[in-house]
Amino acid sequence: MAACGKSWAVGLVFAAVTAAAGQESAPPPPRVIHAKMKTPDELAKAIDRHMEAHWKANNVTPAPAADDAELHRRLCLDLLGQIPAVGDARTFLDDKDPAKRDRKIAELFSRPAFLNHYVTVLRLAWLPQATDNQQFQFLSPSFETWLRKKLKDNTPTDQIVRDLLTAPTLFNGRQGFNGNPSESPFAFNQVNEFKPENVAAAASRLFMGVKIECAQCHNHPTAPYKKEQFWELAAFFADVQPTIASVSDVKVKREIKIPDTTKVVQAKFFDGQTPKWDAAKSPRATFVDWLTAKENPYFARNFANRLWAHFFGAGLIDPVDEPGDDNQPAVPALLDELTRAFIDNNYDQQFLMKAIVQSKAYQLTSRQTHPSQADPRLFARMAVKGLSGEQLFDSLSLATGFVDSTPREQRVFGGTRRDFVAKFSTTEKITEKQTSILQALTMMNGRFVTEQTALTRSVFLDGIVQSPFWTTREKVDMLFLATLSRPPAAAEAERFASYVDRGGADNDKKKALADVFWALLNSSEFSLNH
Amino acid sequence: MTPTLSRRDWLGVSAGLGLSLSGWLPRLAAEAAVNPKRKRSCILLWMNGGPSTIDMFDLKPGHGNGGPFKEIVTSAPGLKFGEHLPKLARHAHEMAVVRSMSTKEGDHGRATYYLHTGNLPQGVLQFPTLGSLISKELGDPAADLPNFVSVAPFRAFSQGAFGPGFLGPNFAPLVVGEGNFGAPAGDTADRVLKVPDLDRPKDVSPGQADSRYDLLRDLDGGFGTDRPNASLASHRSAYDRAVMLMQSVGAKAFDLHEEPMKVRDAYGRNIFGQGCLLARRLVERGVPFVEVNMGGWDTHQNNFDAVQRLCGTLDAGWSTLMADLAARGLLESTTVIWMGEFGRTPRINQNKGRDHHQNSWSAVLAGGGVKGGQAYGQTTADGSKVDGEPTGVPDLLATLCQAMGVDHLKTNNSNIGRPIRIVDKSAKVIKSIVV
Repeated sequence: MAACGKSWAVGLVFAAVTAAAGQESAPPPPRVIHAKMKTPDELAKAIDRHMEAHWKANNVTPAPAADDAELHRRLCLDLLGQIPAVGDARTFLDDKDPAKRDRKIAELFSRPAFLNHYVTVLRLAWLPQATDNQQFQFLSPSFETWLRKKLKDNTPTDQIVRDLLTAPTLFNGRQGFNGNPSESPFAFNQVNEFKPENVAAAASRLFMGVKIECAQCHNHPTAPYKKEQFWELAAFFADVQPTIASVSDVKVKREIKIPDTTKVVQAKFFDGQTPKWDAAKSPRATFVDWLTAKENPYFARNFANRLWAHFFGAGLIDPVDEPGDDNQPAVPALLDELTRAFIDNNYDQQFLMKAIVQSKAYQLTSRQTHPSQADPRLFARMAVKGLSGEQLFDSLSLATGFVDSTPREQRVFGGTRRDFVAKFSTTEKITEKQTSILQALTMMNGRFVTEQTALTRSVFLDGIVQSPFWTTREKVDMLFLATLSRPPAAAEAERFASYVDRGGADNDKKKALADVFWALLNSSEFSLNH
Repeated sequence: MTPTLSRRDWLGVSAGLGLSLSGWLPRLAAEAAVNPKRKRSCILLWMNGGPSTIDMFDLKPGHGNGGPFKEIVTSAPGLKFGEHLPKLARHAHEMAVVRSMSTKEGDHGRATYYLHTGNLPQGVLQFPTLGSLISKELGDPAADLPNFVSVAPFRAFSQGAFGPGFLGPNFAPLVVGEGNFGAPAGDTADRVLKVPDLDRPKDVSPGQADSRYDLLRDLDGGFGTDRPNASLASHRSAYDRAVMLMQSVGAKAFDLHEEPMKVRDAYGRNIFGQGCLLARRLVERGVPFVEVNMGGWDTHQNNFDAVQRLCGTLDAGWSTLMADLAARGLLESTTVIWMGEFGRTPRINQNKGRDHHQNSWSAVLAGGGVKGGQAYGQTTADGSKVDGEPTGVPDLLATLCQAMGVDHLKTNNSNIGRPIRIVDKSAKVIKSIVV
């Protein structure tokens, strides 16, 4: 445990230095009180131990476990970005193997859709400007290709962030732009307009979990960040300008002038430490060394917290990028445990993800069965989350059998998916996602849903409606399974089957089935992740 | 009960509309005008591309930069417009021209964002557009009609400039006529200005639509009973309001066929003109903010031919809007703001065009809360700089807020947690043009 002792000592030094510097003191490095987690399963059990202690301490009765249908749908949305296909839903529900949940989890992690979805999630978070802005949209494919490769190769996260922040420039001096290579993280600089302050703010928010934007112009009114600290951080990125006369002309800049002032500040780490400069190493690489060092109190903790937030809808520290005295972690020991496990397992995000989804805490139902479950910080029931535009569209496509005819290369710029997703994109907190009237109109009357629920145009619906082998009840079951990933409850089955048998409003059984399909696709149950 | 108009106003109205005076004032509008519960409305006339205000509201005849247009007198003594805005000139007494506008932004994207949100783009912070900010203050969340309607916005320069930003989708505009910029004139204009997806799909009968909605209500009722959650509530409320909109009398506002031909002709049979007519109809029904967009102003080449043509469209639509609002007694409670993202260079380039010029240009406030008949601020003799105190974007927007009775210092919570004022507190209201 020598390493542990050493990091503790370093932690003391850090704390002393920062206290002396009068700056915000960094959270202490996590103390190792549990054994090192070697498998996700061990970590899952640890998560549950912490949560049970948390609930006991707060007199909470946690919700019961989710049933198979609820869990399966949730897993598919969180891991694949779409609901289960109807066949998968039926197979899973019919499976009698007691170990089926763990098997399903392992299977989902191995599907290509898992990487596709997580890459989209990260791109939305790391390149937010590329979402709607026509200027930057074209940068997404190259970035995603690079990121996908890294995740597929199981590249440790610290290496990924290193590559991202120190990506070699794509600009070639007087010859201008090298053109877009097929894979590169350089877009990170482009969407931030090559401004040191923008790149620094993004890096701080995304990788340290510290939102320091406000301090750009003035001392933050409530958090202890000073304007100088912001610019000292920005100074590490001062060399981010794209146009340089020739590579050898690059002057290694370790300082930056605060705009609208005459003050020039030197690059300094966020905890107040002065970097030990090495002529061979760029300022950015120096920053990344500090950021991803095992004893850095921000990096691993931030990722652990964000991964928790991804699955639970809210971080253990929430908002995820505003740590402070009034924003303590909901379960401090749990966050420490997750952080330590992340570091010990080579900054492997999938390790943490597997542990989280295998935990009992993740697999609770979202139904509230006891008033003590009401406070979201207790995580005593799974939170109801909204769907991203991508998740909604992909789920609709799967449920209706829609096939996208837009050529792949053009999908970034236009086509059915893009148009639809643009109408549903949002930066709101996922547990508080709002629906607008226009979005409701798009779902009710818009071309996509109308075509996919039209008897003549929807292949899937037509298949069900025309089938001679199924009873009305069986047809209704199929529609529920395809959309809500569960069979109807007894009362629902009765209501909907008799509606169809009566022929609905126009005395037409086929139209009545289309009505049921329409209602299912428009239901709040369909449009939410619960 | 008809609002009283002076004889001169009547003449103005009838001349502008070319109508006989009998049976002109619909009771509905008149009642709306005097309804004590009526709040104010704002109509933003957005000129995409940077209009050449030196040829429209602040001419320099006799100077090398002046160009061929002459000045004409207006209904306001001492205030002159360019010769291609003759109908509008009759409303000058209701308009205040701000000739001292000045920014540092000459890029379409950044400037469009700046003028719409009052802030420069700043990384992840998503500032709301003017319409979202104002409609949030003045709108009734339970109203039939959406509180913010945007007609034919051209969002390519800056998506963010036209959206609700951190206020969220509940304050997003209802957009009509998108993608139809510079679109056909004639009858297709009104087809284009319909609410997207408002109509029941053709293959679905009314009975079928009703029973579909019943099924939906059943499903939602079952699901939500033990899952208290904000997203769920929002989903249901959005659907209810969408159905209300589909069924509402209010939605008829979008049906321009209800208007007499002569009125539609007076506004001009083009997207802008019909958009102005739609704006009047919406304001009449209590919608607090309507944005009507007009493009084509980026006249780097052949500035004078283009501006003459564009002014024809602008003159007809805007003057008819002013007259129409006045005739219905709505002008006192409706503020019109006219602007683009910047002006154009006094120096005429080699293509007979004018290029971007953000140092000195004009914007106009008119109608409710505005002391019309004046120009505020001035530019130098050559038009290249503001002579005296420049007016910044926050100043203009704060002045608009003042005219509408909106507190521009009020804050909203942003997407990064920081509270953001409607208009930055550095703004100076132009007191002399606010009533």
